[in-house]
Amino acid sequence: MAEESKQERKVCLRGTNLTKRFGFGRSQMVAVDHVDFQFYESEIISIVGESGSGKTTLAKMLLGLISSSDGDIYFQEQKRDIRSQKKKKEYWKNIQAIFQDPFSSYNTFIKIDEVLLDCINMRGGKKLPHAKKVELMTEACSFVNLKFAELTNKYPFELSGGQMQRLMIARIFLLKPKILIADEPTSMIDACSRATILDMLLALRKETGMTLIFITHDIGLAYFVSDSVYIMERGKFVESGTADSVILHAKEAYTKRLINDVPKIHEEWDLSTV
Amino acid sequence: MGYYFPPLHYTSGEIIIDGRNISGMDPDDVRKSILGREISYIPQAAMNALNPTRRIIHFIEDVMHAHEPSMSKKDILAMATERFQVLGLPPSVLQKYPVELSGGMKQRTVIAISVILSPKVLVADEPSSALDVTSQKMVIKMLRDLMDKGFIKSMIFITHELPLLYNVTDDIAVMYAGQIVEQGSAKEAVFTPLHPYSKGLMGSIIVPEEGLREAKLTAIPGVPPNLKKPPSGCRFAERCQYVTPECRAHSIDLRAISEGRAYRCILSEKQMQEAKSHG
Ligand SMILES: Nc1ncnc2c1ncn2[C@@H]1O[C@H](COP(=O)(O)OP(=O)(O)OP(=O)(O)O)[C@@H](O)[C@H]1O
Ligand code: SF4
Ligand SMILES: [Mg+2]
Repeated sequence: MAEESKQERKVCLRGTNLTKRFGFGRSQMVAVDHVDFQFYESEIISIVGESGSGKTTLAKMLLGLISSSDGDIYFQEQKRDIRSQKKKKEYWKNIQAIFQDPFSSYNTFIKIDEVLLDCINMRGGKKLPHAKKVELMTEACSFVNLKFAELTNKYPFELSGGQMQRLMIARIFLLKPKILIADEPTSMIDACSRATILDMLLALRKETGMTLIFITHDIGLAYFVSDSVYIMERGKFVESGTADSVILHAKEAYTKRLINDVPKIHEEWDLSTV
Repeated sequence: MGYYFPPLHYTSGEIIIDGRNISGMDPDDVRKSILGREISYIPQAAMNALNPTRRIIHFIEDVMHAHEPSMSKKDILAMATERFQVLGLPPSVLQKYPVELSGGMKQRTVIAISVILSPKVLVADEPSSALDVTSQKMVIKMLRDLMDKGFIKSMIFITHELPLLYNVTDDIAVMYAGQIVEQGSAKEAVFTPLHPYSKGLMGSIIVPEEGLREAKLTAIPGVPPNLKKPPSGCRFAERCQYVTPECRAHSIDLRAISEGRAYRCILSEKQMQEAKSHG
């Protein structure tokens, strides 16, 4: 992307020197190690790295679920302030996440209607007439090809993995956050359902203009969906740029190895390099 | 594979390994003389099945005692050491506890143990899905080595990761709702699929190769049918873009079109193309 147009775009989320340490003394480890980034409005970003590289830890800091040990986060160019519960709630209207394991994401004892009603309430729709709420929930469900009428009075654990994943997207449809973080959203489902979930997320992003951050170790997925790709190795960003520049013209040995390790269809997969 | 385990029984059909029908055999005999020797199974998430309080070598001793009661501990250690070396695993792993090993190392250890009796057939259920790409590649390399070095004669690899399958296997059978809907060489199944479901699957492959970003993924709408009450006609009819009333009228047979190539659909390749162009 040309420099001029990059400057026109508004920065949505920025991090400087962001760091997370766990533990103390000799057992201390740096899970996220002084990373810098800027994510733009409506941009699709992927953060790619191996298991344990610090991706989920970074996501949790961005979401304000854990505190950072060092560095700052700026939301819409203002230093993020989530020191009070009220401010935290306000921040969560803007940033939301869906996680790898859909089963762990819901409170088992809350019915699906309530899960969705909560979203409407969070968006300030508490006082809406009941019929209007049902209309909103029905619309959200049909966006992800679920039938609201069949879901009322059910509990999340009564759904299949794929249905549950789609219910999460229906929640996002109602919440309309400015930023959505998707942490390995498709690693537990087959290729076809993966295409469906991706289609839905991309359609939602088109409709709301939200910034979409994929966290994944699937470098093919990152290449397919993203504008920008960040490669993470042991807590650090070792390479970043447009998807084409990072994946097709990788400079770092680590990135090259990740790409080389993915099985290909049209190119020979070199097994001699492990 | 549920055949060997008490919670699952087969209702009909036969299992023949190397000309020998094992379907009528006593489950105890199957466990003693078939499992491990003739056929071995690595279940999904097998690496979590290792006993956390026992060293790897003790686990191997247990396996060997069940099959070769006369073998001494010393011989078992020598045999395991050699086998691990050949398969590229450091023999020091033998003295470790499972928690001391990384996920990828644990999975390769489980595979090495499950083929220690050199079975004819290895059934591997998603053996690398929980691993990151580099560990996955090491697992695949090991499975290929097992074949090349003659420790196993054939392998059945179960996965939903098509690029992986394509790089590992000679032949692919695509399953949908409990039935095989397409069979062919890996190349045929990936590049010229015949069944509408396999076409959808192959159209949703994501690999980091040039041109991918311009490709449009195929998403198949809907979900597989409930197998408690499978539909009487084609099981894919609900989701098929080519569906005709005839598809739902009767069950569809797997049709062989050449040696090793078959699919389960009433339409010919030509008919499918015509149906598409008519919209
Ligand atoms: N609460 C915690 N306490 C101590 N260490 C932690 C904690 N959370 C994460 N870690 C460590 O931080 C490192 C990074 O973990 P993280 O979950 O962020 O990795 P990841 O890149 O998301 O990996 P994966 O691809 O497996 O999900 C790991 O070494 C992990 O063990
Ligand atoms: S038999 Fe009919 S419904 Fe089934 S796959 Fe073929 S065209 Fe589609
Ligand atoms: Mg993670």
